[in-house]
Amino acid sequence: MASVSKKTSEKDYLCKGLTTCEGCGMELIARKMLQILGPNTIILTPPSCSAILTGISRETGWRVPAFMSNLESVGAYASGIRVGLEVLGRNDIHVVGFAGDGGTVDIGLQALSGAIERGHRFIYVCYDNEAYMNTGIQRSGATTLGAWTTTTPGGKTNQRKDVARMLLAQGIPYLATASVGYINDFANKINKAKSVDGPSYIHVHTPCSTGWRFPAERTIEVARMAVQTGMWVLYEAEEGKVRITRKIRSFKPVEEYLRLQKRFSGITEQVLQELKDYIREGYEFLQEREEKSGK
Amino acid sequence: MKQIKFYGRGGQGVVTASKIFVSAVIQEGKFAHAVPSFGQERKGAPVFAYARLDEKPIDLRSFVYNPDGVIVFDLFIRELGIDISSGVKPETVLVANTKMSPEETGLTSDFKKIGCIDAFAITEEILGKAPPNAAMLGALCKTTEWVSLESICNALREYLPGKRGELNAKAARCGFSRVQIWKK
Amino acid sequence: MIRKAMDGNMAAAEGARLARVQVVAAYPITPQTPIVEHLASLIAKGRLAARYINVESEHSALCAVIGASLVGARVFTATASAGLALMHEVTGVAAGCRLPIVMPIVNRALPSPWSLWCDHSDSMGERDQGWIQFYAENSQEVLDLVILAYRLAEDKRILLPVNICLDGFFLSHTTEAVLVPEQGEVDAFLPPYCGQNLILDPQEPLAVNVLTGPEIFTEIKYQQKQAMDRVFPVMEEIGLEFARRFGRFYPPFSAEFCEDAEVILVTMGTMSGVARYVVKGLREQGKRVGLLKLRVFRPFPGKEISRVLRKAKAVAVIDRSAGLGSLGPLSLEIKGALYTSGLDEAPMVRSYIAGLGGRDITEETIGQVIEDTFGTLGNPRDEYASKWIDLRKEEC
Repeated sequence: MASVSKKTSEKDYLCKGLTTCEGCGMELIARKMLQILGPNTIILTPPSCSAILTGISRETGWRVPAFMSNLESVGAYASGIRVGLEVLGRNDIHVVGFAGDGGTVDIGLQALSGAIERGHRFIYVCYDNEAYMNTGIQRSGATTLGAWTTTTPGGKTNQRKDVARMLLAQGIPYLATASVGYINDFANKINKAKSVDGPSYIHVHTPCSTGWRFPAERTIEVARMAVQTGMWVLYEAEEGKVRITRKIRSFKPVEEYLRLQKRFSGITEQVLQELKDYIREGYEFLQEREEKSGK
Repeated sequence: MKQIKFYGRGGQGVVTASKIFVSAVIQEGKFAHAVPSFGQERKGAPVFAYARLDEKPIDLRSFVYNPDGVIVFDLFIRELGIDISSGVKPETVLVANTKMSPEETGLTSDFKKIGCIDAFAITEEILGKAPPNAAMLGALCKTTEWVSLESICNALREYLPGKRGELNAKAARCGFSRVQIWKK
Repeated sequence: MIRKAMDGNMAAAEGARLARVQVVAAYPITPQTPIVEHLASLIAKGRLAARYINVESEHSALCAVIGASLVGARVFTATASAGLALMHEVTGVAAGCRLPIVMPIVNRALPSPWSLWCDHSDSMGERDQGWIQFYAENSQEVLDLVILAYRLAEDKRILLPVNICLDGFFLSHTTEAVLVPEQGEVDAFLPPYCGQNLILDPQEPLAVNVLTGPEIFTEIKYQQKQAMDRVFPVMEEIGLEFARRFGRFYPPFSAEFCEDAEVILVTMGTMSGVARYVVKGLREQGKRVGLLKLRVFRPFPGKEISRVLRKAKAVAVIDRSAGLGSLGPLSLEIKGALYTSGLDEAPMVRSYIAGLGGRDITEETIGQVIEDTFGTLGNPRDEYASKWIDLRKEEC
């Protein structure tokens, strides 16, 4: 199978010159993640944009062991790898599932939820670019209401499925949301997940220049605008105790976020209002949980 | 080769009895197997099991259609429209759980030998609320003479270790001594 | 070696215990459930030093054992019917990653309509996925084949996963005498597993199961084919060692009364016992009938089988799966094997379908197949069809 290129710096466990799209946020978070986790890591990627990192034929981008899983079963493979390592007494290795929103919130939800229920020690990172991007921009459960995709040509008619919130309800030792626009916040969260004795889940908002229709150099700007308008909230939950890690005193108007992307160009007044309600409800829910958590 | 068909109702331990019988035969160094008939499990529904025993390895593995022995855990099963005389041969032996005497069963024309046992009463007396299978195995042992009582008791003790096994062995011995046998 | 009464499911679980499996992941499905219950209980009681993963589906069961195998653990799972169909996507991954996984399939018909009962439609659906497939006749074979399967699967020349197919209820739930080897004897035959091919290990990073382009995909498949080609010689070597240690030898098929037979019956699974009983009876009456019981369906021992069958006038193949749109799959294999030998005139091959969805294959069924085939001798028929021999015509 594929061999490892030596042309990388010592602390970088993902090669340079990968064939991801220009301005790809996923590559950035994968790189940062491995800088923190280090070489004693086994990575699982399903068929998705992350498979580009895992490589083709004789080449791979990872300098750590990697396995291309099936789309719906990252959680199950991670369970088996962890238990196998435990049986063999190798407890110093991180097991990481690195999957997109399609492989997480839709087809992969069952295996993920099962693995979390069983309490295996593994880190699941969902890079959420809000659609099936690797197959060419089809809607996923994580696509925002009103967004254009090739399978929602008139704009998506349903609200996004909030899997982080579902897992908060299921119960998990460590859960966080993050954004490629706030990389230090993401790094802190990976650092916490690293020492959790059980499952941890980090859901990273990862704008996609190709699929969202914005210029490649604006990935970080779009990601930050999502947080500043309240479309994406950065929080974490340790043993269910919620803490908003980037509090917003006054949200910027959501239109400023929508305007940056052509995928929202056909949006109606009604959808706009529904998005505003969604933002308010989402933030209030987290604030309430945070208050109840005794902060 | 002897072929046996067990009849009973869900919850009476019919399949377990067939397995214990087979274990007892196997302990004697002979060959035997028990094939359960299989449906969705439901208490009270008719249940069948089949067994074969022989001095040499057994090739057949299908259900039993022409039994040499018929073991009925509840004669009321006839009222569900089940014909326990189906496929019997002139030399077929019947063991039935009933308060009736062999002559009262109305089955003397179908079987060469009939053993009747009130297995419910024995079970109640020795084990309390439990399936009647240990007492039935004792009666089967005495009526057919195909396996020794000692082997049946050993198999019961192996299946149910400890006091429960001892009590079941006692129920089997009781079934063995109390069975009323009629011969043509 | 002790002689114990147990059913096919228990024999499969005991085989796994004796093979000292380290990770079990399974999802219960009738009629496989007692296998995984027994293993879960052995593990909970500390009688088997292994971990049991209570997965949430069969798909996850196979993925989990693939994961554990990829880091070097000896793994086990088992399934049936719809559960196997759900695994289908990943059975190819197990084979393509060359993982020595052993997985009994407790044969049960695939829906629709729903059935709890035995036929081979489930395992037949996996026949080209790159697994070795054994079909067992009795509980002794099940136990022995599980142990043999690990030794074969883990052999460096093979590295392929193995299915042990056992007929649901007719074998899985039939209690009979089994000789259970001592742990020490099994340990001497089956050394601990040491993963050494595609292993996920940070000491030697490797990307496994990656997207593979047309320039190399064919060659990777060809390597699987080469491993399949090595199964029979390696199996003979391992099988002879097994026979020396345990006194039982398992060739890819057993031919009985075939030397001078005019008609040879070809069977797999528990129907073979019924067929042997009938054939022995007919031999006593002087009827020249033989039995070829197939034990290994994948790889298919076509060349060796054709040598035996070629001497007969007619071959009657009984398939326990419908082969919709074609003939029964086993009969197609037999026809293929005979046609390519090209040495002598090939016998007529008759295809029979029987025993679907738990229908008992009785002495009468076997008798009818033999009689029907003898009836065609000297009366060749130009037909390309399977005969559904145990059909209740009044229901059609």
